[in-house]
Amino acid sequence: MIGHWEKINDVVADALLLPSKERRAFLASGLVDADLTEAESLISVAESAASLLEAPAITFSKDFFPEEERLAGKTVGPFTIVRELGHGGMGAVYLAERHDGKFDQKVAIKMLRRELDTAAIRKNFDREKNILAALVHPNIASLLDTGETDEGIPYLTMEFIEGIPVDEFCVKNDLGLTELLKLFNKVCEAVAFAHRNLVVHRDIKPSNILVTADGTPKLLDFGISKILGDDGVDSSTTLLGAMTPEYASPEQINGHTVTTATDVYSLGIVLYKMLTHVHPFKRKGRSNDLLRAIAEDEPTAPSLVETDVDGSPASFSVSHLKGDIDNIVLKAIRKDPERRYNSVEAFSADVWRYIDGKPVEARPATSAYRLGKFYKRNKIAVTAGVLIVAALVGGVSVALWQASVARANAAVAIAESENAKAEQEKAEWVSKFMMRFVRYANPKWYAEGHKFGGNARVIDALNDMGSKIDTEFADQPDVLAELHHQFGEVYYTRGEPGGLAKAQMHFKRALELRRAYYGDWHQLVAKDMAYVYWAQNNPHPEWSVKMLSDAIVMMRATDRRDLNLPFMLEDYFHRLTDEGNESDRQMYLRNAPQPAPNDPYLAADQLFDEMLGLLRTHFPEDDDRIEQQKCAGAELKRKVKKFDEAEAFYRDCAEAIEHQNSTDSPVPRWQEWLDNYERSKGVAKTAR
Amino acid sequence: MADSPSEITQILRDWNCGDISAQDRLLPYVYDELKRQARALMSRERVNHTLQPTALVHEAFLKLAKQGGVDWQNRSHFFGIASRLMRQILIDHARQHGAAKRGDAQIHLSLDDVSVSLETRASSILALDDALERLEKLDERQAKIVEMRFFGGLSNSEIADALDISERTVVRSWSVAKLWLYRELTSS
Repeated sequence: MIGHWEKINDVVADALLLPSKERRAFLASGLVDADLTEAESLISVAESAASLLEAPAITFSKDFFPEEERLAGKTVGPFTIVRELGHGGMGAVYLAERHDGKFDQKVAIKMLRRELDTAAIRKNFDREKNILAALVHPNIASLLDTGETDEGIPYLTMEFIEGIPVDEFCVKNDLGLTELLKLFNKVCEAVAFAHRNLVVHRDIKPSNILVTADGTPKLLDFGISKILGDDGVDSSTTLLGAMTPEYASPEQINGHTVTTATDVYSLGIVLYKMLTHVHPFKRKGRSNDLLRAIAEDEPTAPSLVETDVDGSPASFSVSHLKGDIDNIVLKAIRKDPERRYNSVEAFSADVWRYIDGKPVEARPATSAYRLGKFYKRNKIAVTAGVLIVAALVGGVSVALWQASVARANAAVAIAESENAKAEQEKAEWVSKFMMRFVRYANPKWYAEGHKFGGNARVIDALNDMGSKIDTEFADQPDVLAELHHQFGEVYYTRGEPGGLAKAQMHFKRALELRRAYYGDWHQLVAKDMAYVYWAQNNPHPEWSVKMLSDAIVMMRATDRRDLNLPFMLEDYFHRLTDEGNESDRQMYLRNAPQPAPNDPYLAADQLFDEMLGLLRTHFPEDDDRIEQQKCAGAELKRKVKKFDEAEAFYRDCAEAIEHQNSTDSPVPRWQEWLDNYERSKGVAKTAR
Repeated sequence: MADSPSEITQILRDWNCGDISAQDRLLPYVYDELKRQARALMSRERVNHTLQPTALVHEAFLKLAKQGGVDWQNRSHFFGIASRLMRQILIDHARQHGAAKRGDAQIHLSLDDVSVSLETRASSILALDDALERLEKLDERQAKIVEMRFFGGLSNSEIADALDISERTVVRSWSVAKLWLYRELTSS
């Protein structure tokens, strides 16, 4: 049957297009035997199957996703939670009531998700608290109180606004143009007030502007607001989910600096929506292209919007908006922040001028401007550099991710999953930073690109970014350290003139940071110490040798599974057996990472055994990395007169070399194998 | 020394080359995001948060694209991955709800009828999942179409784009798949 399925499928699909009476005959004309039986059986359920699966899975499975916890009925401070109002990745907002005999009060309680109560997120939360405390205004939902639950989760109590989003309010109440504009101006007052207090809201949208029954608009959710002049890292996640792309400004989408002009823009979009009931960039429901449209497309003038969208038409015709209102709205939502109104006050003042019948300041944009460079599409050139970025991003996030996975495996406590979350977030910060790399290929939009005329070499971009990480990640020393480490690895492996010194500079910085963050005794400290050693030019000064030795001791104690450990040991024992330089051998012996016999070979022998043992926990016996060490072992074992072992290693080595000769794949450090083999050849015979 | 940091590079590269297996490795990221969004979607009570169910994978894409600097051209490919993950997420949750194994609970076929008990809906979706696995063996592409439309909530044209076939083929294949699945679900 399977072979005929395509045919059956085809005929049945055709049959379905026919009236049901004609279907059977049609099937019989195209199919025979078992195929026909199958097709008839399928057609027979056509009526009953018609509505099957027509609604997407998500619609019927909504209660498959329970709330994280059912908090209704729980007591938070003096309040009792009634129900959830909204929910996002970071936490939720609940409606709560207070009945303490004196008075009844409804409040909104904003609470972090328990597992997200990490230092960084709590800092954001505290920031919002401080901002809100400073913003006491009749059109801003006010902060009433703050506190912690019995479990220590911080929460904010806010004025509960019983209202509907401002755009819906306009529709429901059939506001006339003047009423609508006056309502809008009240919203502007609230935003302007925030600006005077040096706070940019950054997430202005209708759902954050609720209008109460008496017509008072209230601005909500300062969750991602920014304090002007505060150089803190940008956060694009609010308690109730990510920043809404629909109302994001071009500069937010492009990752440029956010200023009060951003709020002017979002207010412009809100006004657009209030006037026309549509979003200027979202009319065809193609949300995928939204971001691009916001950044690049020219909005249609409000007066040209077709108003049959979204239910009831406004009480005024959009054609009334032609001229002044068009100019005002379009000026507020210009792509270039500098070409918008200078301030929310200026925007609002122009709206007042219109209401008062005075000439407005806004003029239509000139066509020269519209066709100007700003609108031209810039396809981002993808260079080889992207791969390096990906490697860097990959390196850091994989490292952090692995760390969290390792910990998650080992532990059962919730504390561990909090850790994993924090690690994940760090990885995201790092990715965001690293993705700036592509800007170096875009000279028109980005300072990074402009600096090099868009022709930055990979190494230029790396140098440039490397110089920024200290400021960008100043408050995340653990991430900063990992970045320094990763940058160090890049320079270490590139082998350019001066590269080693640069690598070492980064490794040293990583080491310093990690010591401060993790303390002096930690596997990551040990790892950085080893890298500082590796990036040291020959001849190694004694401090460097001492550092490798200390690193070995520390790594043994903190993380014997670390893959760097066997290679650290390898380096050490090699130096102990390096016959070309007796004073070096003595120096390594002096600093040996364990009480060593007074003989470099005996010391090396101990390190060798330890190294091989460790490698065997990481790799299978026939792995190149192990085979190669056997060749080295044959020579070493002979030196310390362990002839049986020497011979066994020698045989394994010979076999491995033969095997390698029979394959074409290149082996790293092949010459070393051969040298070791040659040297141990005669010896093994002597031993016999 | 340390392992070369190539894993995510490789995922991105594979993804760019259209390697379906990259989805397994992307899984933790997309899975978390979809689950988060599904949960957020479902718990929204305020009318102003009107996110269409179909937009779920779109939103997930926007979010991840923004975070990861993903190429826009991968959109349709992403939708395929996301649909599969949505399926997995729903199946996982259905299992959590102690749904009976296929066969022994009555299967409720109008899956969109929310008045039916949660357990019944959960076992229905598990039964559907099983049936879909059987369809995969018969016609992989057809099963994929069902997955993208039903679990991913994608439109016919999006599915057509993602699978690089005509929209007409999607519609025809879907209409027959429904018959086949209906029969499978009722025959046991």
